[in-house]
Amino acid sequence: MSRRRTLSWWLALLALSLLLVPAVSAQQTGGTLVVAAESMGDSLENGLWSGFGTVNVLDNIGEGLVRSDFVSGEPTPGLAESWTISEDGLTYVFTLRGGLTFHDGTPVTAEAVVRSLTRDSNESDPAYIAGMYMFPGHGTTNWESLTATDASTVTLVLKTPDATQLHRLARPSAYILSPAALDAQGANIGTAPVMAGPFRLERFVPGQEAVLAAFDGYWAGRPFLDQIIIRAFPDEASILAALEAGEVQFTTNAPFLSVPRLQQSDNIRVEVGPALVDLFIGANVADEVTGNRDIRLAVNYAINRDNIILAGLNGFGELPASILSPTDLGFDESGRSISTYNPDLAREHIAKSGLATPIAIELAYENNRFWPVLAELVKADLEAVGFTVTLAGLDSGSFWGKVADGDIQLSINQRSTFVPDPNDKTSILHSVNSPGGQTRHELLPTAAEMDALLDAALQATDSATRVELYRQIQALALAEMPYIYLAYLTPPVFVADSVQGVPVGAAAAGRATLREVYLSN
Amino acid sequence: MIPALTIPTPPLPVPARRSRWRRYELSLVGGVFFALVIFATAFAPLLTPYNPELPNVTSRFKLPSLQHPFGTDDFGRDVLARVLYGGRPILFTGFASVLAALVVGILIGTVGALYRGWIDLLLMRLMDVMLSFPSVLLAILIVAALGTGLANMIVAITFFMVPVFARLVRAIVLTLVYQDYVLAARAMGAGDLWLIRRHIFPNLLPPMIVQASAMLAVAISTATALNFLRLGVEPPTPDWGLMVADGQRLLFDAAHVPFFPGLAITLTLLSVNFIGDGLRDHLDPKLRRRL
Repeated sequence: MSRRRTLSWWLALLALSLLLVPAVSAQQTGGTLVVAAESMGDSLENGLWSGFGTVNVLDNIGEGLVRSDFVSGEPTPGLAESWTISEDGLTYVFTLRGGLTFHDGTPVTAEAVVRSLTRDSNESDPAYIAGMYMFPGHGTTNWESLTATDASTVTLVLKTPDATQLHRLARPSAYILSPAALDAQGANIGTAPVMAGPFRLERFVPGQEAVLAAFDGYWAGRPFLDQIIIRAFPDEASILAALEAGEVQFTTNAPFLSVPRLQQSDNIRVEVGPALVDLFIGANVADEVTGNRDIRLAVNYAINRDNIILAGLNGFGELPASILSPTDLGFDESGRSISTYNPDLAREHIAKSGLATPIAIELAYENNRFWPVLAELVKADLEAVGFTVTLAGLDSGSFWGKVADGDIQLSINQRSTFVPDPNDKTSILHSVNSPGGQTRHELLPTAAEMDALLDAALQATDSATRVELYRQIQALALAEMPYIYLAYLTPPVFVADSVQGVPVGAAAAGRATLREVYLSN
Repeated sequence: MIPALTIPTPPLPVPARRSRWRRYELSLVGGVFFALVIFATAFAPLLTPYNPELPNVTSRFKLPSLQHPFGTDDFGRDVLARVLYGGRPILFTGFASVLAALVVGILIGTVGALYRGWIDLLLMRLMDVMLSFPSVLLAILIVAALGTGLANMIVAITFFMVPVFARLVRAIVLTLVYQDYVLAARAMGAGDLWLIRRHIFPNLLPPMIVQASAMLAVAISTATALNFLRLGVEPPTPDWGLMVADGQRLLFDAAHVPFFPGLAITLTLLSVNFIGDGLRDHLDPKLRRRL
């Protein structure tokens, strides 16, 4: 009797689960997700992209040999199902997955991979564009060779070991393009790139929006969503209005200020991302005033970062410790002491600098998002200790134009964790990347020492050595302070309540791949 | 029987003095309000204890209260203090640019009308070219070329207002130079400067005052627009246009921050327009007779 009863319970449970499974599946498949972006480039050329709206598109239509896992910080298989690295760290052999196809139905072969990844250095390629970069700073220049050993094997030989090489292959610039599309479209490939990611590009309106459709032939299976529309909005206020009207279901670009109100909403959910973005002031060391180390230290101690986080970021921030994020390999917590607000110490450094007060100084910033608020807060703090600050609010193009011209003394900006490797952020400290940058730190007396540490950290093959080297790099950067850290941004991610499976960590870094996102009822 | 003839009784005449004041009621209200605005912005430090630029982040987003009648903004600054100080750049720009455009316009218009010929042709075609551009767009172009800042904003607004004054002055001076008394003075050997001083300038003054009052509203609204577009004063200097621009992102969460500077702009422009209407009614003899 008891066995029969148990059996009937099991049968009832089975029947119930059979009833539920189609319902759950129905919830998880289909639908359109509208994503609000702060901007959209005029081209989807992955060698020349600009703006996070464009990255959002590329991250969903494209894929490289490797993916970056923003939670574990590890490289994971992408189009390559596996790879081996030689003991000397110079030779990488990638094995492609079987049956891979591009969105146009052509097969993803080793030849296609080689062509995509060497397009920037092959002037005879019809899709070559002068000035195109694939791996800025330390990329293909470190490649001895890249060859297709057979139809599904790619061999990469480096000149020197590169600990972040795998992550480099996860950057949008390393996404693999269809050779047929490259031949057909040539240098115009950016208008309709054909890749092998989970979504295919259905329509692209330059500067406005991109419509993506689920790719049935994706190697990991068709994504849940039928369609993604990534649309650029002129400002945060219009994104907020669209989000509240239900016209947008996912964004990282709504005003932080509205979070408390949105959290009360029945239809919108706010999730908080990890601290993957550094906000900082770049001090131009080529300038007479900001080239003075005591002035840089004075600026550092004059800033009240609690105010920056409270009023500038509406609480979505953490006190900074270094150029690395807390989740990065080698992050040194002890650096948080530099966040101390100490106006008296700032005045002492000004006195030691030998410059007469008030010291006139210009602070430039981009005229969007929270930058104007941060600039005003910094100005008030600096003027309280003896500076006279002129603010220069500029559009993005003018800002970077002035930075490149070296005309700016102090400039506020950010650095995101584009791939989860410490080299990604620290590479800006290398003198190779200094010319045309915010700080001109190649002029610092410690520039050679910094370069040597960065090169060693990049070439080190074991984690313990890298950790130690990155600690030294952080300490040296703090001692010279070409970058004055303001805060770590812990950005809110705004999603409609029906949207599930959002990769908050990747979204916080601006790298939201939406292949596992689905809409519930 | 002949019905009694009823003669409608005319309405009792309103005392002349009272009706004249009623005629200018709105202008008076506008005048009083504008005078108050000028007084409030000029003596702002005496009217508010708060620093309009210094952040006080512990007092952010306070709603209007006795302590902060207009509330506080996202930096914790008193919005009333910022509204009081914020009228300064706009009013200064308005007055300075109208005055500058008036002087240059009178000069160009008078020279053109008095000397005619190729000078007149050249100057007037130049004015036509300047008038052919939309005014705000022209101002934006000039500020973009010269750089942001109050001085450049004044130059930009002056630039697009000069043709308006110059053409009006030329038209008036052209009618004046053929008047009998001017021709008589010329026949008696009067020089250009004497004519300008004795006959032309006094006759130019009333229409120029009317025109200047009308252009003051245009100058103020353009200055507000340029500051809204962040082409004028730099933050944290308080300015109504800039406050509305900064406050628009707070519209859904702290509406009082953009509301009060917006209200100040609206009421000030309205008052200047009322003053302009009153001056026109009063100084135009034809209109005065009709009224």
